[in-house]
Amino acid sequence: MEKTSMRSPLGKVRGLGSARKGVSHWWLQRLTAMGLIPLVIYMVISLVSAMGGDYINAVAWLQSPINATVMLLLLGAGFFHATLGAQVIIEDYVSNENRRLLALVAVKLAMTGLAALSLFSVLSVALS
Amino acid sequence: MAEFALPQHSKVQKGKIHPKPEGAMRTKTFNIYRWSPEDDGNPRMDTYTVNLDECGPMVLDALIKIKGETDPSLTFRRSCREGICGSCSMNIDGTNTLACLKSIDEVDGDVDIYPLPHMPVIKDLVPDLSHAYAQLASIEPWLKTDSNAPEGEERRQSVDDRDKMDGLWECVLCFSCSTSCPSYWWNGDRYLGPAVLLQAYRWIADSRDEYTGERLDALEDPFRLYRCHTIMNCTQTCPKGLNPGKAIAEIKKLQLERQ
Amino acid sequence: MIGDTTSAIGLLATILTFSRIDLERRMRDKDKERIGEMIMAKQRPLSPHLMIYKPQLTTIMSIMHRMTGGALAMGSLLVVWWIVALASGAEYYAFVQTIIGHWMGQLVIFGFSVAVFYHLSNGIRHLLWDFGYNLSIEGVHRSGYVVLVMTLVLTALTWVSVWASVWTN
Ligand code: HEM
Repeated sequence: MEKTSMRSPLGKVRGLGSARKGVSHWWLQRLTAMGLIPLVIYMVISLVSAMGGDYINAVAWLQSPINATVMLLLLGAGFFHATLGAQVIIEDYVSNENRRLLALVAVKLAMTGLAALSLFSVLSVALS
Repeated sequence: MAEFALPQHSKVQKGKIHPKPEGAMRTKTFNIYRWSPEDDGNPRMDTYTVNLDECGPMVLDALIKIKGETDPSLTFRRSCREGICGSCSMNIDGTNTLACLKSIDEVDGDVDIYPLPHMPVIKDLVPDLSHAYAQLASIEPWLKTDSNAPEGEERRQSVDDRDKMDGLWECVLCFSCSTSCPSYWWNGDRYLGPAVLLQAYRWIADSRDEYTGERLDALEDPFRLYRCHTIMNCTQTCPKGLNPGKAIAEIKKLQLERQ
Repeated sequence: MIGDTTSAIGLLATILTFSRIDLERRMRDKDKERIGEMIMAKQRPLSPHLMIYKPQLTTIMSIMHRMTGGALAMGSLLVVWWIVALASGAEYYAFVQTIIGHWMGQLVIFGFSVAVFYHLSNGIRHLLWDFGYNLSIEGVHRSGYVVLVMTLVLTALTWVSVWASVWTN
């Protein structure tokens, strides 16, 4: 908090004005959440019933078109949703502008990288 | 980082223990946050014991009695003593409320009283609300129109539309809700908080207002509006039984609807 | 001569004026510093918040949604690892399987499953709020307890079926 600023309280509150954005972030978080509900439930059931297999079984499981598609959608929607969520958490707690920007960029790049790696791996197993 | 701990000069220390009233049959102990710019050092908790047989039923009655009979330096805001003025909002027994509406019997054990949380303290239980008031001013809480009112008449509103104001106009601006909200604690410099957003919705929902779109524009912001994570401490704590959390959800729905 | 004198006096006056201004300015700065120090010394304390606010269902379930969301994001590293192992061949996959099979691996997966079911159930509660349902304080409490029970039931159901299928295999 500023200690000796002489700016009026209203001036401080108005600040740089409204960003006029925020709906799309909020909505995409809900949209991915709604998509994740059936995807997560399907994945849990499928994994539990395929428990205890070896490598051959696991590969065969992921080569089923339905399983592979659900996995791709789950990873895509999941990483998107988690990135949006992480952004909110960082904005909440990291108040220094530079550090906030750094953290946001780092998280977004890392999540994108992880998403690409996992999507590629699923495809390479599924199409092998 | 958001500061989850209190700064060094704000840490609360042990304070004075005032003697118990003699010969009292029923007593209650009040631990009250004290700080004055006139004395050096950190805030402290002073302890007062009140004879309940000589005291009104509400926490505010006890505060007035303590100020009148034990310690005239104890400072707090109060006016109407019936939940209409919104002055005596403070943190009692861990939640924010109006001292005049909180009965002493409701509290098990000692009554701990603090100023509204995460606010700069002017003195004792009196927080500085300048920032919160400026936030209220920023949403322009008055009817905004371009067309003139009908000649010699007031602006008309249907009964149904008037009903939509219920649960909104009753707010007494005590800021119990805003200062109960963790999101307001960490980001209150930019997040408007439940009290101000409820007022913003009060004018958005008013059928007579002609600036609904501009109002929504001004609110569509990651910090002003979207720091609300539906924690619902606001609605939980409102001493008037209003629902700021629902009002904020309504604003978010309208933001989506006009996309 | 007279001109010289006047200009000399003028110069002197100018110097005096400026040094006076300078002196005044320096005094003002000094004052400002002193007032600044006084303000600092009397800095208003920040009233207590998290440490004194009553822990209640609303706050606790909200922070749990955040923690489980964060845990899932961290846990996604493990999911990625498992998929990459699957794509890397039988040998590496077998190695990952032994780690997963270890009781510590099982514990992590158990924790992950609790996080999934809590975040899923409470996520649905969030979505219902966003559509305008359960926003009364009774609704908030009722749906909160439903989420807690749902988390327990889904976790139990999942692990009972896991053990059942391991048992029969
Ligand atoms: C299973 C279906 C899921 C549903 C229904 C769901 C729902 C939600 C909702 C509604 C929010 C917004 C909460 C808010 O506004 O405060 C949210 C936040 C979040 N979710 Fe999910 N989610 C799901 C799965 C996941 C997964 C798989 C991950 C991680 C890979 C994840 C990570 C997060 C994170 C990090 C946040 C931000 C938390 C916060 O802001 O406090 N979620 N989720």
